[in-house]
Parts: sequence; structure tokens; C-alpha cells
Amino acid sequence: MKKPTLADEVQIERQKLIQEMAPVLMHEMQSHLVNARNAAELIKYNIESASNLHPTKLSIYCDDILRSLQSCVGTLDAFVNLNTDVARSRNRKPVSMDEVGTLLRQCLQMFRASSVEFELRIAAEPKTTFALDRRFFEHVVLNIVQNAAKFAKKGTRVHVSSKLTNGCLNTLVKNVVDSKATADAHLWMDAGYARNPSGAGHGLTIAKQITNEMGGELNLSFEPHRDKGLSTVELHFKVPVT
Amino acid sequence: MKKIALIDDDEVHIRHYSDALETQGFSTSIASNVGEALKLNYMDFDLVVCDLMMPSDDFFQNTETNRGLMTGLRIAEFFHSDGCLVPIVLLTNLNIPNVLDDVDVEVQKMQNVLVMRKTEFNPIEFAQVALDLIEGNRVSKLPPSLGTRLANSIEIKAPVIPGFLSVDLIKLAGKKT
Repeated sequence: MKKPTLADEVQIERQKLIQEMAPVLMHEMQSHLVNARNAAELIKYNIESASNLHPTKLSIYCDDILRSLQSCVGTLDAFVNLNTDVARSRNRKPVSMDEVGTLLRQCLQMFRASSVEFELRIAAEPKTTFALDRRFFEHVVLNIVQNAAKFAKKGTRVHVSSKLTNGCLNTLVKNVVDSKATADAHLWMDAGYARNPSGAGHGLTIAKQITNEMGGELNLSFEPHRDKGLSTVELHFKVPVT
Repeated sequence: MKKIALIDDDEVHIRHYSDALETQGFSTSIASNVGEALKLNYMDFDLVVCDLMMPSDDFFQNTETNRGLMTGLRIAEFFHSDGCLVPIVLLTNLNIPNVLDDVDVEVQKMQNVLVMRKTEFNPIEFAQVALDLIEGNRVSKLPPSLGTRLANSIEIKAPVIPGFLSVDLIKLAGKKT
């Protein structure tokens, strides 16, 4: 049986993303359409019952219809372009550091049952906004945090930080591992090892590919401690923002 | 005047419901997030209408990982936790089969809680349904999909006719304890 290439795996990962995203986008579109329908029904009801609908109220309902339909068109556009290269730029939405913080916090909460503690630091620029593909960002962050939760030495603290530097959003995940794990970690980034039967690093390789598609970088570094057979692993996730 | 609490993070949707219900003579109170919802004195209301899927804002455990999919259920549990079984309608557009199954399982364990799809009623039609629910009247001409959910959540005393369901809602609109 032919071994899947990295390109095949990325394609599979994209298909998975589409499968995950489709119901979410459909739900979003349905919500917009329901709002448009409801506003139209209210206008119709008020006309038919000859009630004195205030012009301002009528204008608000018309705005509701227009905005809902516009949102629906936007969501449909995102869905249509989900699997195209264009999607990477079009899916960029304005976010603030506050929202990045919320996103990271949500990711960390998913692993709060693990045997490590998380410490999150977000640069104090809550009002700065920039364009970012939240879906891809979340995908990569989830992956690297999951790796940290999985490989960090039990009872230690995983440091997660994010800040804007030189037009890039830099996210760092830093944790302590046993040195043996460090050696494995070094191999995570290698596509050949990534597809070994145990599956170690598979997700991280895909995360790296997605990061590259975002025009960013995902790098791993490790620093062995002088004693105790431990090492510090740092995963740098850097993605350009506009 | 009958009082209805409306809980939804979609401000457009909730405003339409509020407008329609007030047109029909109801008094409404709006909560646009979980924090505001939990501050409502729910015993004052004749009916609570709540969105099923909302950000849980860390108020509930086990909803974060589900991305707020079950927040409405947690609010319903909270309201009913002291024995005050105010009727609660959970509105949703949810279309994820596995999650819907989970919701069904949970709703079946609860009293006076209904799940309705937002697509099945417009706000004006919902005003009539709300009145029926509060007054314990029969609600007729329910869409089949809603009929299935009603059948799962309340006692049915009338025969189920596909597409034209008649359900006795007395149990749902039971007296407050």
C-alpha cells in the first residue's frame, strides 16, 4: 500500500476541517436567514394589521434584513472558499489581543484536566486589532498546547505567551520535559518520523504545514538542563498579521 | 399581563421576539448573556425562552469544551434547581446530529422543558404558542419535527397524526410549586 505523502495528509487534514466547519457555517447562515425572515414577518404583520409602525422601527427592521443577508452572503463566501488558497486571505478577520487571549484561554481550558499547570501571558495591547485567520490559528495553538500537555513533565508548569512584534503575532509555548522526550520532540518536526506507526508528531507536522500556509513559522528549540535529565522545550509559533 | 423572560446572545433575534410578544400583549425581560440570565428572578415569569447555544462565560462547567452548545440546558437546570418548574422553551438552529442526540437525552430527563427550532416559528407565530404554553391550552398544527421533540419531552394524551400533531401541554404548563 502506498505510503501517504505529506501533501496527501495535508489534503486529508483540510477535508477534516471542512467536515468540522460545514455544520458550524450552516448553523451560522441559518441564524442570519432566520433573523432576516423574522424581520420581514414583523414588517408584514404590522402592515397587515394596519398598526402604526414607527418609521424608525421600520428602518431598523429593514437594516436587520440587510445586515442578516449580508452576513449570510459572507458566511456562504467563507464556506465556498474554505478549501481554496484564496480562503487563507479572505478568512482573515480583525481580532484584538483581547480576543487572542480569550482564544488561548479557551484552548488551555480544554487541557485543564491534564497533569500540568498552564500559565498564560498576553501582551497588554487589548485595543490593537489585526487581521488573522482565527480557524487556522486555533488549529495550530490547540495542537502545540496539546503536545505540551502530553509531553511536559508531570506537575510542572507550561508557559504560554502571546505578543505582537514587528507585524507578527508571536506565540510561545514553553515547558519542561524529560530529556528522552526532548529527543523525540526534536523529531516531531521531521516529516519522516512524523508518519511513523505510533503517530508521534503527526499533528505537529500538519500544524507546521498550516502555519507555512499562513505565511508563518513554527519552530521548536530545546535546552537540556545541566542535571536531573530534564530539558526545556520551546515552541515558537509566529504568524504575520496586518 | 403575562411575563416572559427572553435569553439569547443574538440581539437581533431576541429583539424580534420581544417586539412580537409585546405587540401581542406580553411583558418581556431580556438577558443577552448567561450572567444577566442568572440574575433574573425567574419565579416572576410565566415562561422562559432561552437560546440553547450561547457562550457559557465560565459560569458552567462542562460547557466550555462543548463550545457553549448546551448552555441553555444548564440555565434550565439552574432555574429548576429549587423546584420552581417555570416552563422553559429552548430555541435552537442546531444541526449537529450527535449534539442534538445529547440534547434530547438531557431534555427527556427534565420537566417542563421544550426544544423548538427557530426555523419552525416566526416571532408572531411564537406569541400564540407562548400563550398556549402559559395557559395550558392545546397547541395544534405543530411541525412534525417539533412534534417528535414534544413527544419526547412531555406526556402526550392525544393521538399523534403526522404533520398535524395535537399535544396536551397541561403537564408542561403545570402550576409553579
